Amino acid sequence: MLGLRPDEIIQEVVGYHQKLADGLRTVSELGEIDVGVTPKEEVHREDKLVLYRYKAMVEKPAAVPLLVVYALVNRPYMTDLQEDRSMIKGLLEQGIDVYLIDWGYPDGADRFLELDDYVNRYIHHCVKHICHAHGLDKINVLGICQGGTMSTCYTALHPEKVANLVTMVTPIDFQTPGNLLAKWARDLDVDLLVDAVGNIPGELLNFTFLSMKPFRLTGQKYADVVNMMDDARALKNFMRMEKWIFDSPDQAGEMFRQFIKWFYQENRLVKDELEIGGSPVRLENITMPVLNIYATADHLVPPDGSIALGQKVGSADYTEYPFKGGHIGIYVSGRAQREVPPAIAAWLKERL
Amino acid sequence: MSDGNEWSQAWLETQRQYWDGLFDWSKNLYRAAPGAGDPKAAQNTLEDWWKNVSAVLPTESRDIYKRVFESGRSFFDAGEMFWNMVRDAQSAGENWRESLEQSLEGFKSMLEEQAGQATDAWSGFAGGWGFGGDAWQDFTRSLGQSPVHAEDITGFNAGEAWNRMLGTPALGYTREWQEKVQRWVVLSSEHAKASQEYAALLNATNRKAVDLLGRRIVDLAQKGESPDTLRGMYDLWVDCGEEAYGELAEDDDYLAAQGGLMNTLMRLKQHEHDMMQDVFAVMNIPGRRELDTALRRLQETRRELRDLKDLIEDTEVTHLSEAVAALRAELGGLRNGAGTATAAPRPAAKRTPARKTAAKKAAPRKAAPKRAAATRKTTAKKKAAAKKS
Repeated sequence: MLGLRPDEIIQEVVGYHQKLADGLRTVSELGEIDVGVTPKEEVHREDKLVLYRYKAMVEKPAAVPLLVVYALVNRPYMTDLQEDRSMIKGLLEQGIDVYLIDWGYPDGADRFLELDDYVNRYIHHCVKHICHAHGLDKINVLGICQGGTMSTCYTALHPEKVANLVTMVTPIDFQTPGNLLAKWARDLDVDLLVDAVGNIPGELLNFTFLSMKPFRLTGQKYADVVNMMDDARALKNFMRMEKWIFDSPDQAGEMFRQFIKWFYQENRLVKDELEIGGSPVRLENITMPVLNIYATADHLVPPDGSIALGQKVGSADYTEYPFKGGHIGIYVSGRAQREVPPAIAAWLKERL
Repeated sequence: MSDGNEWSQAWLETQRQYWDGLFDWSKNLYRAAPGAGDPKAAQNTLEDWWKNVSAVLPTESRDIYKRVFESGRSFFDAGEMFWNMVRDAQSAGENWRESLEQSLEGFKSMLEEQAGQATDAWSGFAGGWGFGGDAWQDFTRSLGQSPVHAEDITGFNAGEAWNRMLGTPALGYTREWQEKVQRWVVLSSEHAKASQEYAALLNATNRKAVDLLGRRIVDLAQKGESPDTLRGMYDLWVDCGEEAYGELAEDDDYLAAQGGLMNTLMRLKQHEHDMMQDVFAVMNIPGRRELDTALRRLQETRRELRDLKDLIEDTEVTHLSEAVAALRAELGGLRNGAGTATAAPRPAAKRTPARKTAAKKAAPRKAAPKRAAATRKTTAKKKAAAKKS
């Protein structure tokens, strides 16, 4: 028999909406939703790309800096969302000298940017800039999600420029059984899509990600918000996340075509069939130390798709770090703040 | 001039008045026999309240609060549905399972009816649950203006759409244009069919989710358990929806239908671009085709230019420049050391950073691998160039 009583249901609905109404004051007084809080300075710019260097938090940071390469999907401020949820800050506190690539917002003029431009031009120029600034031949690279895939390709193509490679929630094998995005890409005519619309609207990516778990992500999640309506701080944290989720840059058309076709549909990287700019991308060329961090409950990049890196790299010094959490929690959860930056820093320091 | 805070208080008070309507409705329900009260009145109160509120919220908060408000509406709908279900089940006594089944059948019909009224397959599906189903519409809107919107095409009526297009003033060669219009109608029809196939799968999932909900409630009851709050029931409902949808999302038929939905829309979109291109050509205005050609050439030129610059930076030209700078510096030093008043040559003096670099590179430990790397890169580039040609 059902344990619910009709009068209790009414009471709960009314209570819910009362909280919604009472929370209006909190919402109206929240002010600007600020993100990207750690001080940084622009050190290099190319087209819409900006390379930032974060202000050191220790007197003598590590001699070899770390370049963070984020995905083209969504904005890199996820790594520095707020004071107490910042992977960047965590790394700085551990004495790492951190640089970060901000890809900007591609527009129609960027329609013909290719994977070659992103890997061999943009990332390469940032690495060269940092090498030159520090008088080094090679630096450390940390790639996140799609940025991890690009960093892995870059490292395979330019191993002489990377001292240590760190990958976070990075897809390598795109066709593992749990990869829903790869399944959805299967019957998509990506040539037709790019030819028809040019750059891929961020709204399509939003729709794709929301429709992976539509009821949780478009309904249930917001039903939870009423319980934080009287807590301005919690509400603002939620708003920051929301801002990030829906801050989806358009994707340069050719880059998107190549990424979907070569990685999701043909899985070329893990099959040793990928070429970028006419050069073969071979994971066995990655002989430097590798730290592969993946999230055990990642619904976007299934763990086995990330772990595949270990079987393919030529490095004798390969470490895996499973993080108990999801694709987003790995940047912003409390446990991530406590565990991930110290783990990265400790691993890097052992390899100086 | 009035005090801002005072205005804010007055405004909030107005909002509270709207809420009184909702509370009155709930009081009536408490007092009256089962079935009393008009949920629509309360829903209208919510809508009115939202209209007032949304206009004055800060821009940054408005979208998110809208989503929270919509979830409130969804919670309200869930409340109404479960309220009816629980009331009927309790009235039925020992026959509560039959009553539950009847309620769930009614729920299925309601979802199907809502899906049928929707402007597109996705909002018919998610919207039927009271969840935000506007993500697909946001995407189709981002594709820009079309002669007919994708959401109109879903409920495609060949006669009306055909007449609408025939009303378009003919430009250029009429016959060719008419052929393009006919093609457009065919593509629209194909997209409408794909949308219907996609919607049919989503609707079947709705039915499956409701069946799952019924099974879960009965299973829990057999264990002597039951959600004891509306929120608990709502969460169970969401779990069932996700489970049913999760199975669908990996199903081959769904993958084909989803691909079909997107591919037919893109074929239609591309044809619309071609039609617009013809219009632009008649007016001697460059269109997307010309712009794409120009941008592609520009990108290729920039890529070649960048490659050349990289080649110069990474190869012996740089090393030679650095060597010359180092020699100049050394020569300047020798001259100074010899007591001559001759200043260092001008070019060398200007190249302070290069001299710094040269000095660093003079250290054998670092210089050797750098050259080796550069050589490898040059070889790779040459190979790549040979391959391209």
